[in-house]
Amino acid sequence: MKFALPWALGIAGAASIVAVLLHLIATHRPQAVVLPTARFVPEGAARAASRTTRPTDRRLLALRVLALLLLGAAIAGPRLTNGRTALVRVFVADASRAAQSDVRDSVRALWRAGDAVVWFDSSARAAADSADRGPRNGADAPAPTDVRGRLSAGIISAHQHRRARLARADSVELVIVSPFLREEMDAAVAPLAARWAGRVRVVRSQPSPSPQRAVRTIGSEPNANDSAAARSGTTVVVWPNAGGSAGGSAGPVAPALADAVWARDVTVVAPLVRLPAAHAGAIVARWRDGMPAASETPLGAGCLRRVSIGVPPTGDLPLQPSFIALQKILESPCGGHREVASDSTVHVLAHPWPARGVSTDEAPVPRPPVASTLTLFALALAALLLEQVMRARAGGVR
Amino acid sequence: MVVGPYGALLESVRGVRWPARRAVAGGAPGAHVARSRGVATEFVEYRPYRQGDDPRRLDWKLLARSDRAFIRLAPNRAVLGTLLLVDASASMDFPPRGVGSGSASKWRCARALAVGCAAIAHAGADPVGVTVVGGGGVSRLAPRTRRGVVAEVARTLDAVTPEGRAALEQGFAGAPARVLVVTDCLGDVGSLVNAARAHVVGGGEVFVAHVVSRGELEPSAGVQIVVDPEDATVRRPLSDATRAVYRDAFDAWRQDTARSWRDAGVGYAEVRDDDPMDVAIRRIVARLT
Repeated sequence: MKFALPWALGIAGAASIVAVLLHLIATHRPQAVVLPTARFVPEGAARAASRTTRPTDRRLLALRVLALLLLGAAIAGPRLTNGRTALVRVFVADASRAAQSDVRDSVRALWRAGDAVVWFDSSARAAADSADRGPRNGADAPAPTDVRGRLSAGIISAHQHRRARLARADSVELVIVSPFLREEMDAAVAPLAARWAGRVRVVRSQPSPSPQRAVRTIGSEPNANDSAAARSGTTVVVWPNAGGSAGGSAGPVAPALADAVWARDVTVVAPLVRLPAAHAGAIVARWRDGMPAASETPLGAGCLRRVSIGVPPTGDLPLQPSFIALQKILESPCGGHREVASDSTVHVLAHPWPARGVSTDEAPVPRPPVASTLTLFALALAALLLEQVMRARAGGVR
Repeated sequence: MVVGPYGALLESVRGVRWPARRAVAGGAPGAHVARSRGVATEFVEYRPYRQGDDPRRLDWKLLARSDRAFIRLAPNRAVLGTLLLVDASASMDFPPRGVGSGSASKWRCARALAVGCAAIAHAGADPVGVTVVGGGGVSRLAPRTRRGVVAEVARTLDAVTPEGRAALEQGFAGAPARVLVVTDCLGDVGSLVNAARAHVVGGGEVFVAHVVSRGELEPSAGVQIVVDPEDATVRRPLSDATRAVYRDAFDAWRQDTARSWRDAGVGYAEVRDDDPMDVAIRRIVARLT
């Protein structure tokens, strides 16, 4: 049970103590008796005050204390919580290659009993659900892995934990602790965060520095050496005619119409040739119609990236800045550059609660009151009326 | 025949006499010495014969020896009418019925005194009457000597409930020579003393039985508001601090009251409601204080 105005209970308690003290210092009218010789008694006050060690008029005192406490409770506004807490949080903490140890430190600093922690890299996994221990001692905090993170996976897992936490709390807050690299942000992140029925906070940590890995570009299918290099951490780029020079001897024929390809924020519009390739894994670049233009597949510590973008042998396309930027992306180490998402992209994830414009099936459920304020006031009034009746019957007005 | 609570009392006062303090006026033959001389056998003195005296009262032996005519004189005996003037004001109903322990109360004491004295006076062949003055009115029983008058006095008293205020001085109007006032003196005692003084000056006898309750002498302990039953405006707090002052004032008032009664020539006796009634009655009739 919680109270909207706990100080009202304190005031009621203090008033009750004062009432008890007043009953210990009782001013009462003594009993009236007949005495024919009353005229010989000197005149004086008809009331006498005396201190007693035991409260006088205990029934009256009980009624008065009851009335005061009921009034205090009515003003305080008790709410039944059934053991629920007002707020728990679900942490979505980055454990991917992009994160450093400060993510774990941030989670430790913010964690409270009852919170849940979901660590994510390419997949999400929840920390052991221990209300007492949590991640404070670091036992449940995994070391950053060497894989690319997927924030959407972590948020999806957080949604699952939220349902469990709603049974114990009135509101569940989502706290995302991550450096928020571009490679972790996919199109599902923003909708998933927007659907969170509760407050969403973002805590941005420092990204880990980009690893200096070797890149090997080959124009044909990788051989055993290439595969071994990829497993040892080298990024093997299979690009049949990368830059117009790495391809095979028979260069592609320039198409009559221009095509477009984009990767990250680089778009190249040119008479490009779509080369046949069996794309698998993560898409790195796409054609204008959404078809994959480049993909990469993790292989050991490195990866194998296939590029199906044919560069016409003629023209100055390889010299154009946009193509150079595209080539830089395609020939970057696995995972690309550790490029952080913009602040606007990150801050759009956060929203207060209740958030305006958030559509959710779940609405915050108000805590049911233990007893309505009117009921408590009515009980207090009844106690006061009963006290008046008892005081009138007692005769001696205290 | 008197029955009820007075049987033991009347038995205990049997044989007690209530003589007049001085010679009474002449009247019907009784037990008290009269101021007149008669022809009884008890010789007192001689008086020379005067014309008109009854010759049968001559002392013939003396006349024969001394040739002088003398008449033998003897003391006359007469009755003394007695009125019991009883105060039935509200203050006499103390302790109130049902309050306190024991059967002692001022009203019960007053009734016992009146009945006992009536029995004694009746035993001396004196006419006995009673006048009960209270807030509810005046109940009178004229003095009479017939048999059963004591029971009538008892019934008259038992039929009265003390209430209100009593103007006892009006009871002296037409009262016989002897008046016994049974009161607690908490009314207009000045007027009552004046009326008694006038009665004494007129040749009568007045006795006062001042009834005091043990509860008045020693009020119960604790803090309480005491209320005068005859004046509701008198409400005073009686506590340990004021109890000593109360006792001193009450004692001084009783002494002043006794002095005023005695100065008026009234036989005064203070009777407490828990005193043995036969002893109190003997003190009254013997005029012991």
